[in-house]
Amino acid sequence: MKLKILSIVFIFALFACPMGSFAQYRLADYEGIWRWTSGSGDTLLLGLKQIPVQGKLTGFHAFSQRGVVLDNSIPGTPNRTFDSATIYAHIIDPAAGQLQYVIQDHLRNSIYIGKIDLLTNNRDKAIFYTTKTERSHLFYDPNIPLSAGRTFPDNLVLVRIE
Amino acid sequence: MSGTAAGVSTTGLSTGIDGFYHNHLAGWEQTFSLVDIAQMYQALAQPGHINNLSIFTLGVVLSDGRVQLARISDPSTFMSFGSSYLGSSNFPGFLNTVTPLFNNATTADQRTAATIKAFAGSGLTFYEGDANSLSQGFQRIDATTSSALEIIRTKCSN
Repeated sequence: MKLKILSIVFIFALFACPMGSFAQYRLADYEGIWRWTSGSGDTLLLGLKQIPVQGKLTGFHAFSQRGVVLDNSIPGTPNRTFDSATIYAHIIDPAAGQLQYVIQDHLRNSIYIGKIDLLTNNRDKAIFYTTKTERSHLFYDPNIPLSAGRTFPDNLVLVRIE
Repeated sequence: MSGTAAGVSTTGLSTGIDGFYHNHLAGWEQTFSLVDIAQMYQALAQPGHINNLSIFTLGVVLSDGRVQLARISDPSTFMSFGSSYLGSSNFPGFLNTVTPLFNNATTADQRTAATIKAFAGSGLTFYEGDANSLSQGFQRIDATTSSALEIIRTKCSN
């Protein structure tokens, strides 16, 4: 009898457990247009969308400094500086909502590898940060890259606007 | 070629070259950067930039005195690999695919092994020597096929 009661309690507890406890983040949770603004006219825009079948995201970005566009790969926008995707990303921890991204910085001939962490209490906000920078010292492009630093800042709070 | 604070540009290169060597200072990647290899494809695998693809070597001198070389041992395979993964538009996708190899690579050997694994099937062969005792010669370096990031060093006979 005790065993029956325990079994019933266990099954009841299992179904009573909120499904949110087992939530896994999906690529769709990252799709959209994300924006960071400095408050002094600097803006970073990231556009992310799923690549069908591959289980990854791709996308475009634009950075403007005090209203001047420095780097822009977003299709259909003026002052475009690069005409193909500049971001690739995949989820590395579905439970924690952690995305690993690769993004190009054309002005400095660099590529940043980093993470985007969705905030647990607001999935329309995310932390964007770099964990590794790849920079070549050999280049073919006649436009000589800038020598130091990075074009857009790091450690940003992104807000999904679309 | 002209050097700038940002690096070396091959634009306007008037004659083919046989190799390109650079250094990685302390705190930089202690092996080839993946983007070094991509730029080798983008910058040098252009008509007239390399005298002979099969003898061209890309070299990096590391802060601990090691010297690593990448040789295009199979030019047609390298050009095919480069066309698929190392162009300016498809390299970020390649990087995103191989970056997980580096997530647990902390030592110089592990990062070298991860780099070699990233370029598996690329037609490249990697070598390593010690700048402080070059008379000891170079060793071919390969990554083990296991998931562990380990290097197999094979002494070059000549």
